Amino acid sequence: MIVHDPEADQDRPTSLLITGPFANRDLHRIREVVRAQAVGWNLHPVTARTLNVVITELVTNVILHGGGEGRLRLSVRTDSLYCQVADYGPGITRPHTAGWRPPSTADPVSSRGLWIVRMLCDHLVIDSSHIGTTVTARVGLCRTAAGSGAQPSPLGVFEAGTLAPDKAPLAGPDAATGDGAPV
Amino acid sequence: MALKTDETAHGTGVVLKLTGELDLDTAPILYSRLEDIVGRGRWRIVVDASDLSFCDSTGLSALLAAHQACTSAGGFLRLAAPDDLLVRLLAVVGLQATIPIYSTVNSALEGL
Repeated sequence: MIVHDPEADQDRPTSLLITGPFANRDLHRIREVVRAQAVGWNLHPVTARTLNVVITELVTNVILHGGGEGRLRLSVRTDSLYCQVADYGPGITRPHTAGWRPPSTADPVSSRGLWIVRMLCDHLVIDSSHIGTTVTARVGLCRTAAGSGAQPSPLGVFEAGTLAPDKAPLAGPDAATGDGAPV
Repeated sequence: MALKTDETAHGTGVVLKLTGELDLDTAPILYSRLEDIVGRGRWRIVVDASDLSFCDSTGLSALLAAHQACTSAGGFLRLAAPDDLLVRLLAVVGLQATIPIYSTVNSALEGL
């Protein structure tokens, strides 16, 4: 796999690209890179850990079902983060319903990855055809206030250097949003 | 090594401490350790997850498979000290009532 230097990608300074081919042993390294990038983007550690589960599940699917060849792109916006994993595999038969069925609680082999991804993300889109599959996940963001050492409340989204945690309204139209993850 | 497993005996049970990350790459290590323990007739297993820094669906599959092997032999597999995200994952896939969860290894060992 190749980690593309985000600083070098001048058109998209808030984007991280990792291209395959992906193998089992790359999963650990991908998480390391994502953790480091999350710090650079001032993401809350909870967001970073959730994101690493989502990414690991999606890249695992590329390895197991997508032939291993593919790419991962993370793109951070103001209050959400997009994670897009694409492969060039044979595709999945029913992309719109993939991951919607609750997994078995009795069968160890039952696939749980896409269900977990759906449950951890705000929004998930799966595009698939016989030339490949692209999964786009949106994860709600909880950022830390950069450099302030402030601990964000679970209900807070803080722009770096602006809003202090104890000033964030907890309710009403101007209330800060939570980290967006369901459950 | 991205996943370390350390086994210690406690009365009639075994504590299997996991250190590191559990994913597609390392899950085979856990599968084979658990198969080995069960194969020796040790069916009362406490998995110490206090230093497990990452677990995904492949990790959950390994735990569930071992849980079934232990319980069908009349034993158990208990999960001790999972972090908040692992607890959430277990709930999300509906396994929070299947695999007994304890906040500490000691509480999981009570009665052994």
